[in-house]
Amino acid sequence: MIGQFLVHLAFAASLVSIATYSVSIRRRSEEWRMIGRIFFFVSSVLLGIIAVMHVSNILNHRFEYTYVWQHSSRELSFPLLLASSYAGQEGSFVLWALWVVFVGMGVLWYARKYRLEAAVMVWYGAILAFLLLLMVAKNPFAYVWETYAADGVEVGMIPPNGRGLNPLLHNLWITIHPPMLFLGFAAMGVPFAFAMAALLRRDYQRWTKIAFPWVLFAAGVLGLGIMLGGFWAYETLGWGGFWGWDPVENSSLIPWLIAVVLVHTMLTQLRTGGLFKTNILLAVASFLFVLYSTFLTRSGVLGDTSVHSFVDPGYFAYVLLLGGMIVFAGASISLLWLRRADWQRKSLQATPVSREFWIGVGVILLLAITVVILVGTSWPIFLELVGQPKVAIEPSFYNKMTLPLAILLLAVNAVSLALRWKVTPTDRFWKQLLVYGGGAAIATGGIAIVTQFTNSIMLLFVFATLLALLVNVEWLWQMLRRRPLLIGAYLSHFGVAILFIGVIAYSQFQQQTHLQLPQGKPQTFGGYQFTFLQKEQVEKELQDREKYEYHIEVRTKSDRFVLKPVLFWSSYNNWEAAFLEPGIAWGIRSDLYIAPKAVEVHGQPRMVQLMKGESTSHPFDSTWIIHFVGFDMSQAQGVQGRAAAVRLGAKVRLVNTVSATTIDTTVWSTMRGKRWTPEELKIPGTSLAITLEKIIPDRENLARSKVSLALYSYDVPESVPREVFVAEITIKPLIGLVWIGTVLTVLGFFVAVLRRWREIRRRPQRWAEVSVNGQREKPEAIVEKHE
Amino acid sequence: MQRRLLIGGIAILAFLIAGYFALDESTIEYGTIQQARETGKVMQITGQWVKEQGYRYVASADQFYFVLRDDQGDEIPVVYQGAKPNNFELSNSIVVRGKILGDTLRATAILTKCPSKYEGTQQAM
Repeated sequence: MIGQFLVHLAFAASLVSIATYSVSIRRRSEEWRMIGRIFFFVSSVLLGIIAVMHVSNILNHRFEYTYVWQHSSRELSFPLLLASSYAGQEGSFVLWALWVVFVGMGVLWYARKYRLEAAVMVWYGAILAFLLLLMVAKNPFAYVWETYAADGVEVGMIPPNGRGLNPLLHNLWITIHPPMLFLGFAAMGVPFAFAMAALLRRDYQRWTKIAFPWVLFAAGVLGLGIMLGGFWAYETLGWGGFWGWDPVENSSLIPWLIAVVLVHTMLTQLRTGGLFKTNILLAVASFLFVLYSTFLTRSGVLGDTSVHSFVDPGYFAYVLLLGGMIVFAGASISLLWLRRADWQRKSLQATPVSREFWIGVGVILLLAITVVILVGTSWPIFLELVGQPKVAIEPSFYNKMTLPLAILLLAVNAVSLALRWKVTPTDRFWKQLLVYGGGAAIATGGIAIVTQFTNSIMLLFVFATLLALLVNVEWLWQMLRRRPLLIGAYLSHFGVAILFIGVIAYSQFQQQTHLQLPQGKPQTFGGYQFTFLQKEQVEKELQDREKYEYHIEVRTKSDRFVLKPVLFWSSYNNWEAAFLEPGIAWGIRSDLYIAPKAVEVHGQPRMVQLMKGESTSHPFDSTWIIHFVGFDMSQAQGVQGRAAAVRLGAKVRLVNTVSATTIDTTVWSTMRGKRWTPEELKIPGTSLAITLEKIIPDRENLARSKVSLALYSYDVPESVPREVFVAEITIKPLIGLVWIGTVLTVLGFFVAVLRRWREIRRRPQRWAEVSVNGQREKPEAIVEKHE
Repeated sequence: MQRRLLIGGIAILAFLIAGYFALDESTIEYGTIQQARETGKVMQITGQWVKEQGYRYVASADQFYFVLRDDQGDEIPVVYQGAKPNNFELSNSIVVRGKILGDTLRATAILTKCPSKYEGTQQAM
């Protein structure tokens, strides 16, 4: 009750904050601005309380709350409990809003320094208000009896345990990837707020310098978030790759690409004064596409076109998400329209031998890539909207379309770095290009010969990548020696080139096979020998899972190591099917990737079914008689609930008719849902064995229930049930470069943040002056002096 | 200036044309078993796994077999090159991408959709 009330209150406070800030702009009043600020703080503090309550509900297992029941359980560890606070839709809005509050505090303080507080906080506060409105609709504090009233759940009913968290999410990455992504989303609101403030104030130059560190920060964090997602998919989820052009992946890539474009166009404006319309538009668009991304992934419109499961949020939330997008887009478009008089100004004129010209070309290419991804992702929805039959887009579309654009982009990057701003002496440019181009061509030729690689478009890709690599290495080297703080851009571009080398190697040279590995029988592939040694149960203390590491020994000519892919059963899906995790040998030259597919039991033991009192002779040694004496339920007591693992026994008397030996013992098996895990019973002094496969209950007359026994002998190898580990084995050359490349790219952004931050802090007064209606700043003052 | 516009225009036009063809080629329609049979095209078929018929994974061939019932109630055996997808049993609806050859649906992709609102909520609690 109180939680929901606080959500409403926080929403109201955020609205008051927006309203008073707007009044303060109109009246140029410090008092009103102060009220706006106070209400933003009130709203923030309330949200902080809401977040604390939400998390404490989860930590204290308050399963009367629907959210807590749906997404957590008593078995979860502390980090996973924290993660479950944003695993569901309601909780993810809480996390996002929390980041908006933190970032908002920073923005408020920062914007004040440049006398932009009210103009910026009106917009940034609107983002917070929107998220709070979503939380009003998708209330994280709903009780189970409210949510499931139609199912007749009684008021006051408290479920003993929750549904839990999907076992696929049980790892470290869920504690890092989503928070990073949402921080990125929160940060993407900042350039938007500054751009809208610039429109309000009709001040189109100053804001670029002020907002630039934020744009870089947003691009860096969102990039990191996306990258962590890819790494997660590769490392744990066993999807084999790091990028699948899935709508969910695409929808976060689109705003990121626009942010990257914005970095370049803002830089151009800072250096030349041009592109100011473009920058406003892009800053607004980057945020609108964050909203679009949220809409795509949260509204259920993508339905069955994605591997990510989507939850239908209900009609109200759908309308809110759509409405929010329309309101933000509408507000920006109307403001742009109001300012149309300012748009008549001369735009950037650049000669083809200047850096800004080629940055412009690169920007167009990057936007083209963005459009490709946007169209591909939205196409199914678009067709449905215009009443066409439903369709899906194959991922090959993206590869086909982006490949030529990426080649051009890399080449353009190299060319632009070989040029100077404004104008470059052409002879020097051609000389440089000849050196780099020659170097890249020779290297490409070398690679083609060594690898016998003849795909011409791919060779072109290799060439463009190497060209970009060489140019950026040269710049990096120069900058590191002279002005290390300026390496950001070159580091990022160098990272992109490295990333593409990884992508090329991975997409062209990976070797893959499907192997069945019976225990102890080696198989070879790609110069490796694989042997399934044994399985080992891990995390035994946790009752909700039955988890095995399959020890796969890998031998090369000179080396031997053991990989441990994982198969596990979980109460989450009633023990019905295994969850899989790959085993990976990380390497500099290549990764060896073992993705489990299934485990099969081969071997033909004789199966017999016995009722209490019945007996049978062992089929592989008829001197042994097996009497089924009765069930042993002694260890089945006191266990209940979904997570229950019930250990059941069949008491047997084993009698040898020749030696007149009698053994009284019990065969055990553990039942989890429909899954039985038998324990082998060896008849002492023989090679005979028995397992209890399952119990077949007779519901009418429990006394007539049967046991199903498997009987086999180690003297007859084909009778012994043996596990066969079935896996897809892939050798992925140079895939490590993908990760190194992305890390460097992201790192570059953060170096640039540092640099821009220091630069602007050195002379804050200068930027605090209100320039006359966008009159051009003198760029000389901020021109980098390294050329 | 004129020349620059011309080059830009041609480039954009080429991009749009290429994009249109690529999109057209990569578009897969949703349909029913009957439609897939009639057209012989690759389609996405939404339906359910017929649980009573079970499923089978043949490790030696790396093929996964099951029977699909589409929303029209038609049933067809499916052969999928690969292992059983994650969450297969959990899903209340699946989307199979593939083409009908003879009497079987040759699947190239299977998407499993997990139940969003857990059915049988009360029992579970």
